[in-house]
Amino acid sequence: MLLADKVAIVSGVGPGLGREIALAFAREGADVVLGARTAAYLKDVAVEIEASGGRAVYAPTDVTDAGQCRELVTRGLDAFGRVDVLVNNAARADVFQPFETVDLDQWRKIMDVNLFGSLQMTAEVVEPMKRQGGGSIVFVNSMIMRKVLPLQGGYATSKGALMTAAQVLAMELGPHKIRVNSIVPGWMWGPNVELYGRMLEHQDGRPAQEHYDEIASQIPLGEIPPDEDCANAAVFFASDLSAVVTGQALDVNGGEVFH
Amino acid sequence: MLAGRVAIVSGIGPGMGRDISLTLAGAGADLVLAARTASKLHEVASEVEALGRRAVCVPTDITDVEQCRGLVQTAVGELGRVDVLVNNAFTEESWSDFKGFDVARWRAPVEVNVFGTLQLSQAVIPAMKAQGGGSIVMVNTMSTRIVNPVLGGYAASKRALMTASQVMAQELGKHRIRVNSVAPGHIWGDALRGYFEHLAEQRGVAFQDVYDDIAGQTALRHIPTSEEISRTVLFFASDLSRVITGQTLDVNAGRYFH
Repeated sequence: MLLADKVAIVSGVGPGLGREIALAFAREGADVVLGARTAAYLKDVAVEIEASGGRAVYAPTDVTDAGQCRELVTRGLDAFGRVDVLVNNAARADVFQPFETVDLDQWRKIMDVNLFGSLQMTAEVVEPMKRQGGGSIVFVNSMIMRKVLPLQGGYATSKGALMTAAQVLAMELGPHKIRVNSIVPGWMWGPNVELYGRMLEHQDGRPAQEHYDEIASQIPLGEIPPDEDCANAAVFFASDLSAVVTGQALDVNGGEVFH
Repeated sequence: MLAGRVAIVSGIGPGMGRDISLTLAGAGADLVLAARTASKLHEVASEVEALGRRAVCVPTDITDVEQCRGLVQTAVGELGRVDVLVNNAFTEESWSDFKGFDVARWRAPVEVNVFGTLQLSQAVIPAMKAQGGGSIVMVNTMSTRIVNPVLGGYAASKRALMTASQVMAQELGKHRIRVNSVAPGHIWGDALRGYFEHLAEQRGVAFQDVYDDIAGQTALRHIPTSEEISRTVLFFASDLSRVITGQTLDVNAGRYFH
């Protein structure tokens, strides 16, 4: 098991990638601390982890609230005594409007979650990780900042800022043996893409499957990567397999964009 | 992570090639070891066997296409399959700056690092296609990111290999053959120790000062060992990276961020 004896905090645990990362971490032997705004969902994931012999605690967490970030970390420290890994997965989606007319306060709200929320979550784990002599912080970034698509400018901009912030933190926290890396998923087969396909079907009358196939045809490996597979990139950065890797970004996209 | 899998590793020597082989064997793979010098192969083979895995030695010069084909034939013949190819064999060039450029000096690293690697990769494609997939891992270098003026031919050859890897990833994805690269920076081992001793003498300082100076250029204040670097090769060889292809991971303790 790649994460035996480690304690990992995962933010943004919803039905998609957050859940898969939490389950993958538990599978690899980590104790998991779950955060998200919606408590009901957290409980379901915690129960699932415990049912398969793992340990999990959770706290409802809005990452834009520094006090709630601190409480989540405290919850983890109280339950398990340490924190080795933080995965910043919490994110806010775009408002899907053109730059020319968008109210930039809408972009600010996205930035508040995706950049500042991730940073203040991270700030809370720095002290315990320093005390322990190291740790691993993983940011969940997005292919959108490599391959910009229309109507998602606020989201792309926030993730671009987050990429550079991750490198800044890698530089500053490296001497404390705290590693900081990013995973960069593209399309992920999971609840969000399923919903997107059904939305397109509703819009243009073509079956959702045609839309999924069109997306997959742009991907060299020929499939939309399932979110459970993407979660394994977070396992890699959380584990000692990546002990000498920091400040890097790993694109997890079936080969759609090469970095 | 690699139980039941077979991996070919080229460029076996006492450093990176050995550690990649032992890490993959430790994860359950049987190994096919390739390098020009047979004696180096047998030393590593006995270490692989000590881990309870099989090791087949095939002396190979990757600039000879027939030897590349023979290597893969032996792998399939002896161990039944090829799941992973780690292209670790390389050559540097005779250190010299660009002034007085001699085309032959740059051609040598291109022949080994690009064409040697590509023809060995080409040779494993039929077996991987027949099996329904595989993973090819290229050992690239930080020299493509931070250019050293006396290693121009080497750096150029490795950058060509990086782009060729993306071309391969694009083309071979439909066969579920993944192609990824790891790009180490300084690698701690006997060669680097010797170089640091030389620098210490040249600068009139203590060995530790040289070490601290170079390690101090990394975020983690550390010079990765070949064993530490080999774990990232294991990641790309394994199903943990099942949906990752065409990527390059820089493995340098934070000396350069990509």
